[in-house]
Amino acid sequence: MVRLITHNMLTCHVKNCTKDNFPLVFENVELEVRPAEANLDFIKRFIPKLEWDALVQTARSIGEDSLPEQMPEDKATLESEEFLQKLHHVLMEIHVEEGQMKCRGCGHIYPISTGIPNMLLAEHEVGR
Amino acid sequence: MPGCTIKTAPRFTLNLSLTNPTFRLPDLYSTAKLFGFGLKIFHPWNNHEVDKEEDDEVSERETWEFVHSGRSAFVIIGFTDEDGREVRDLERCLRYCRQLGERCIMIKSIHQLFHHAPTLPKLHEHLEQTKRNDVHLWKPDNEEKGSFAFDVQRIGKRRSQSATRTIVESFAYMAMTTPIRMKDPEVLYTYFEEYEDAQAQERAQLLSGQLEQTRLDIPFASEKDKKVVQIDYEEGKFVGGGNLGFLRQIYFGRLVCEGSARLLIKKFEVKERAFYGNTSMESEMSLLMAGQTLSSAGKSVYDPFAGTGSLLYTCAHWGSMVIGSDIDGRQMRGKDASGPGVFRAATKYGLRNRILDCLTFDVTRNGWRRGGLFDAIITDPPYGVRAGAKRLGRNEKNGRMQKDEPVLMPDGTYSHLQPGYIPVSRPYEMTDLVYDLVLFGRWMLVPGGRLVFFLPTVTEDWDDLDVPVVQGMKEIKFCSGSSQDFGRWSRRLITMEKTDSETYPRPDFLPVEMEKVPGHHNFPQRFMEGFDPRPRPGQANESA
Ligand SMILES: [Zn+2]
Repeated sequence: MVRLITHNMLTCHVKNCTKDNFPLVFENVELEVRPAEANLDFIKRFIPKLEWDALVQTARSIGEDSLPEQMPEDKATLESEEFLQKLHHVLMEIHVEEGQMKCRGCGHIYPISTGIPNMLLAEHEVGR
Repeated sequence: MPGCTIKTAPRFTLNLSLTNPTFRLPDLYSTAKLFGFGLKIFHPWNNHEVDKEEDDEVSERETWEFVHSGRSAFVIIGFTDEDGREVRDLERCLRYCRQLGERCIMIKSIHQLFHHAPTLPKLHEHLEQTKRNDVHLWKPDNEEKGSFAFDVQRIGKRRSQSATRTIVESFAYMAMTTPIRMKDPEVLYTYFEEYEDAQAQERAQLLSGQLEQTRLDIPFASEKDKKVVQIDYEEGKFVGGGNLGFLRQIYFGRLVCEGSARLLIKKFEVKERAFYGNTSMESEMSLLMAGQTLSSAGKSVYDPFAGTGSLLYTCAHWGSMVIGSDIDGRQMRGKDASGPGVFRAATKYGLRNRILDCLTFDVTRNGWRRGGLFDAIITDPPYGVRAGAKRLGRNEKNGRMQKDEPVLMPDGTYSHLQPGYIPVSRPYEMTDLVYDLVLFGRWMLVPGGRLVFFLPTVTEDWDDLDVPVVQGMKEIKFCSGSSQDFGRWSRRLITMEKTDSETYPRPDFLPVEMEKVPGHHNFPQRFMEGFDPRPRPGQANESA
């Protein structure tokens, strides 16, 4: 786990880290691709919540370059089965099992072990 | 029978579970909302003609109270469309019935109601009168191949074969032309006699406030109640075996469907699971909660105190994509070396793909990039004495201040980068937690999204005001609300809905002051201390 859909929802939350805190950068990752039944309705409903540039950039950083640089502008392409299937693959079927996510702003490292990311902060990184 | 529209709107009898009756109405109405129909609800002991307009708003409220009290296993319903008009099309009603039966945890079975009456002669009198008009109701869909059987059930009564035979024979005037077949009949006519014992009656009166005290240890209120109830059918009375109570009502109809959702209680039984912890909640409750989230395919649901994941599985079962987080990652992982327990359990249920992810984090220091991500938030916050809720940060009440700088070790490395570093945490006060949860829901939910959570509370100190009131979030509550009572404390199920489409700010998770100290304040400590009453205002406060 740590699917790209989840990664796209997460930002660094260290105290006072407000610049370059998204997207977190994957490092030393072990990937697994697990085919999953597609729920295209879910994908379609999720599109407005995505940060497209971050998604494309992150996908490419782990060797997945099937997504276009720009999000398709016309609704017909965006909601076509072909495009949603592609998105389903990138968002739902690629799992980062081991590795880490690093904040470009403050350098905090969020380790991932057996598919579960540790997003806890150290004492000096949390506010009161 | 299919396709025919009858003059009066069809009515249906629900046979409900007698456990946890305060969860019935939320269960029924949430399911109706999910599938987009309305419910009309009728008192099962009210013997007006079914097509009479007896249900103004007041009587519906009274009926709610009655259903909520758990005094009867039955309730009678009809369906309404988006304009509030009663649905008369039988096929459509039957579809709604099946949807209720597939989703509602509290439903044991659903029956198309032919008539209900306080006595058998009254029932027959009506049925014989209306036989000519309602003859289509009686017939199997296919008369040539059709078959029928009678199911006689006497709730609160000992089984008696001779009484059953007498009852079935009394329906001879129906003049069935199709064969009786006890196994897999096409039509199952269902006949319920409902008895009520004096104890149940007293309990109900107690609940509704009509009685102040009860003697529940005494099985019957008086010697008179103990007498065998002798009723003769020809005289309109019942004979024999009647030492358990009074005949309240008879419901006659045909079976529409069994409540299949109840089977899930077994499926999600904690002990059957591949992985569970000490605090995993009983499956019936987690199913009832999942129902409140209106989970269905395409929705996203988040549990910020996921623990061992109990609530994730039931929401995922209904099709939602779920995410869990917990400050204590060990809970999600478990001890087994073969991988995180939460994923193993999900795999066993065939739901692995619907767990989007599980994350170790503190919801008060959450890494969510934006609000409006989820259709529902569901959670059972930890409140046990040892397993009380925690949040990141140092407990400065103990005298040591929280560090603002990282700690450099003698070997030149930082302590927080050491393997096995565990960040300091402090108790998360229940009042703060509940208030934060409501603000978090307002920020994180889509418009119309639901926040569903269990709130532990000291029964004596509970007040409706304990649920935070904030703009944009509204509590959905029936009667006095849903709760599981354990004597001096109880667990209340709270359902709230985001009512507008405003974008609200990320909550700051700072401590709050509520006007009234809520019943859940300091819950773990009070649990440990056996819920001693709080000092009343004016009394000396020792801790001050
Ligand atoms: Zn950062």
